[in-house]
Amino acid sequence: MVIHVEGATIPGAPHLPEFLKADVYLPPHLVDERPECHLPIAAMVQTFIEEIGIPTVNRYIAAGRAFGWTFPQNQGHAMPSSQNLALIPPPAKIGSAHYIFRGRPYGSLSLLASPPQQSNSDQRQPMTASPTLTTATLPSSQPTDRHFPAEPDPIEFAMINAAEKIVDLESRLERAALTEAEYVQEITNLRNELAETYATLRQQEARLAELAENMSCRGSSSHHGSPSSSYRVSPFTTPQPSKGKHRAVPNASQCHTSVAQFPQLAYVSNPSRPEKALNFSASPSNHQSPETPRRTKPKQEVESVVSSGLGPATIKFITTHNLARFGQIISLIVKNNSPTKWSAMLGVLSLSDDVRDNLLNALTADLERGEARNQEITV
Amino acid sequence: MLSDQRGVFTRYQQSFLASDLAWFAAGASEDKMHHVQPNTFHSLFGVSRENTPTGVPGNKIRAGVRQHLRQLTFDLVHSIIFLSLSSVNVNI
Repeated sequence: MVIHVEGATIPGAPHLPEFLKADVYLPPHLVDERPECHLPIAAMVQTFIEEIGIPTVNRYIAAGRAFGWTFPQNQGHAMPSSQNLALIPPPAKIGSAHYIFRGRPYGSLSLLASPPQQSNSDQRQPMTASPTLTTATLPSSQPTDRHFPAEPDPIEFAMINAAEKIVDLESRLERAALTEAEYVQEITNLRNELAETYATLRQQEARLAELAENMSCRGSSSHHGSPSSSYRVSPFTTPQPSKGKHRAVPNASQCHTSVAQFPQLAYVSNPSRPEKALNFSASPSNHQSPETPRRTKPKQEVESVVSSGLGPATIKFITTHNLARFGQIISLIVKNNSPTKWSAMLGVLSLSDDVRDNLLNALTADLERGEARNQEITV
Repeated sequence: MLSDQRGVFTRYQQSFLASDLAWFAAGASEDKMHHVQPNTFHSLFGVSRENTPTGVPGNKIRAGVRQHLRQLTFDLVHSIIFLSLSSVNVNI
């Protein structure tokens, strides 16, 4: 006698005996000549499916998971009916010794072991079912029905199904958590990439602006058109209020008018550059070298923050909260967005809420101070 | 070798297939390669998937191989039984 249960199951089916089948070789004479052997054979096959088949399936699934496969479970497979299963099913082919046994639900063994006409089958089972032909290793010839109630208990059934479902859901949850972590990582990377790209763009713009400024300073008055063409490079920067201020600034020379048209250098009303605004209006000759404030600062980080053109309150906040690495981005946000959008844009930095609010407060303070100063100057 | 006896392959195709499988299976349970690490597949499992297509067509091919192997096993067991049937009868 050979019993074989494959590890692979119907995809999505629950791992229960009634969803398994066993390929069994039965010696023809045993089936034909000894009908009293049918019951022990059926019991052995059922025991095999429960005690060997289910662990085999579980092992197959564990190995498959380790291999990287996923196994969907409990996808609405109907419970197969095992009411009218014969003790020995018909052969796979007519005249064949190959039989395909379908598994029965847990607890069916006791029903098999005590059919109406055979009362002492438990005693006879180990005796008659152990011919020397048995090639399959059976776990034990003891009836295993002591583990199960006398009748197939629907509640126990439901419990088993629920337990399986819980395991399945837990593993899915685990996978989802992993995927979520991956996505979060990706989002963070993208954010950093965006900030870097933004910073590069601004640097290029600043360089371009400097170049254009130099050119227009050096060139004749006929170069008026060139700054407006480089304006197109920075589509993100054109705050309306600053334009009005530009016109209020007296045009001392050609050089200053062209500077005033550059958003990078001439945000008179912008709080991000109060020093520059001061420089611009109070001592126009200094404006050709906007890096001058740098030399006064000893620390490298502070330098980069200052060169980003943020106001004093913001700089203080940034240095005390160790946010210098964000200085460039904050200055970009401040330069390129109206104050009403700052809060939303600062969300990009994934700071905690109160830090963000305090930063916003600092920026607003600088904005107000810068405007007050600008008014003094323009007046 | 059998070119002068036409139809031999067709006539004994099943036997040729079985002997093919037996050739490769011979000694498999004693070759000291039959131990598998916990929760992994045997290397033969990977070999069987290497040269077969993925999806349903590959599954069908592999299921066919398994079916043939099972058939061969049952045939061999059947031979054992009928060679030892007399002793079994004595026991019973």
